[in-house]
Amino acid sequence: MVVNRDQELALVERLRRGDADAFDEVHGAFNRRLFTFLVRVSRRRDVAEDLLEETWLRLVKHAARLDADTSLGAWLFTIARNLHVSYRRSRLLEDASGEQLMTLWPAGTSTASPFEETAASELERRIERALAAMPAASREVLLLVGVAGLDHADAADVCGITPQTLRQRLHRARAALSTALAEDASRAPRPIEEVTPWPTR
Amino acid sequence: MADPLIDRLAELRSADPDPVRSARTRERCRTALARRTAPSPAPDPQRRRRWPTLWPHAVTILGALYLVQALVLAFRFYATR
Repeated sequence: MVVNRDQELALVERLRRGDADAFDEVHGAFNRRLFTFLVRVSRRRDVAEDLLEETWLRLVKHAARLDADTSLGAWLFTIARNLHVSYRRSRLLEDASGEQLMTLWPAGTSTASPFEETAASELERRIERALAAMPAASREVLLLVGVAGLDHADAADVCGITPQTLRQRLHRARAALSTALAEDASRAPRPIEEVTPWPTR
Repeated sequence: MADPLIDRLAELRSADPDPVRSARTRERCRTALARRTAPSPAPDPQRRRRWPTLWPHAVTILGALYLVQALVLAFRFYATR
């Protein structure tokens, strides 16, 4: 379900008044998108489920204090992202090693993401692999703009950066993704008949 | 400006959260939201402005009443002597 700006403002107003049906509509519109974002940034389904639940609880907690012109998408993705950042921070402190503490966003691990494992097409698998291997700051702008469909202003709000910085970051992330896909394609084995043709007798 | 790579990202598959847990969370949130009431409306600025102008008059009137009452009591006291 996609909500336009007028519907969004009406939903915000109803949420501020404590309308539970409005909450249902917002939940229906954003639950899947938020979860998809959280699974891709955390690369763990159980963590994404926990963070998703906490995101909705935060909305309820702050519903009465929302500004009338709140952009719900930006607000919800900001909460989800911040919760994930807090989660990462707590995990880093738990298994603190000096090197890991140098950065909040460690580069992708070699473990496959849930999406990568189930991706249907080869291209989709390659994109998932490339996304999972990207630095998280680059990955999140691609996820917010490309996958979640936020506009640049909202995505910039979510990341706490200016739209100009977001455009630069997105440009670099896009270039990195493109390069990763090209490298991945060049590493991919060629069709078997081209590589090892059976000797003809 | 359309970007084929960004457009391709939009076509990546979505993930579905656990439906049972989602339903439970939604119900929990609905209940919590229904318990909450809308924020109390901001105080009427007209009324807020009225108070500072009214209270000196109220103090003057009460002071005058007190003085009159004191004078009445004093006159009664000396009139009985």
